[in-house]
Amino acid sequence: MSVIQQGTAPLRKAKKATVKTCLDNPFVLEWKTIDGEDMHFILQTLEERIKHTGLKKIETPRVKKRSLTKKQMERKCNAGTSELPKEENAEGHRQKMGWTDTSIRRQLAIGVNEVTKALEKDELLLLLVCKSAKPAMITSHLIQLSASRATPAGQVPRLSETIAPLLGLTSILALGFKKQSDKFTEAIAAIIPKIPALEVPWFQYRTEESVDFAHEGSSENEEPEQLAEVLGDEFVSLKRKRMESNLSNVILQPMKIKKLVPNPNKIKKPPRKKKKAFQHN
Amino acid sequence: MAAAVKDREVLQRLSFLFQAAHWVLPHSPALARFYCSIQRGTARRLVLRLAPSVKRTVCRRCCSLLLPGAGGCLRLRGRGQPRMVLRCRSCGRHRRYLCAEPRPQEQATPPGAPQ
Repeated sequence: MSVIQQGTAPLRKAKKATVKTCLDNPFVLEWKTIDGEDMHFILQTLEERIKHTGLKKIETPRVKKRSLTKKQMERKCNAGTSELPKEENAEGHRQKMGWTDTSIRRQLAIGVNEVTKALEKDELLLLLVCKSAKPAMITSHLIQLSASRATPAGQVPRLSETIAPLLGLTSILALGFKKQSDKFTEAIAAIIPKIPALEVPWFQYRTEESVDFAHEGSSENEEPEQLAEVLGDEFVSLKRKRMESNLSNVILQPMKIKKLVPNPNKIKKPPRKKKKAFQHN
Repeated sequence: MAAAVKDREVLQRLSFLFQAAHWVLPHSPALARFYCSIQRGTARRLVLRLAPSVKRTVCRRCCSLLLPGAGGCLRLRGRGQPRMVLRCRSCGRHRRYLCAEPRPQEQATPPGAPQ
């Protein structure tokens, strides 16, 4: 499995790219995108609701004036323009910055961090995620979280584009409705049936009917028992009892191996001219 | 290749341990921690590579299985380049992962790089 490095690049042959095997994550957790009619329906319902309640964050004066001042500074290159943002910010304060309605704002969890916190405290009724997250792993942890709290969660493709301007924000990747929300209850009740259930193996199968063991599972069950024998009998007996009672619904996922080819264009340091025997880390 | 065949059994074992830890987690986090420590020990002994997604769900210090809901807190921080800060609840160890764009390589390389 070792790749022999040579000093000169042109001597590298195709045989040198040895394939390394790497254990890949057997669980594949993906969002199920809501498409088509359901998506339009959800977006329309939300739009109507938000316009009805008139919830918006007034932030536009700041944003516009900052961008203007930046452009002005580039064009004019004056030291006097630095005083402009301060004056304009003061004016913005007079226009009541912030949300129009704080009580409604408290019923929503806007933004990934807020949604994560609310999910950990188990405060959410419904969760909507935008698909346009780049990179996608910003929202990928929400799948497991919402499954553990049994909260319906759906991924809607254009959530950010539609709803962010309504609320006066640049982008919304995650939106959650808290349990005490009064004004959004109808919308939530209408949206929840449209959302497909999330597939997270270890949370889902616990509540469903018993499923047979996979072939691999039955053969490999011997291994943990062998491991446990090393520790002691009490531990084994406890574990066996628990395993038999609770894990009748387990399906073992097939093992996934990722095969990696080391990047041929990787810039490698030229090895030192000393002999290999004297190489040190 | 002969090397792959030899490791295949061990890789199956690692995969099984990983999945078993997930199933056992709500009942006994200590058992999940035991499974993960064995998994990491085996992988270390035979110098096997684990996928970053597998590595991240296991805490480095205490080997407990971190799920975003139970065991680990996940926050996004940073404005320009968002970082995922994963904190293990049992040992309080922070891990920061940079949410970089996925690189367009042939073999699926993970999007983030552990710091």
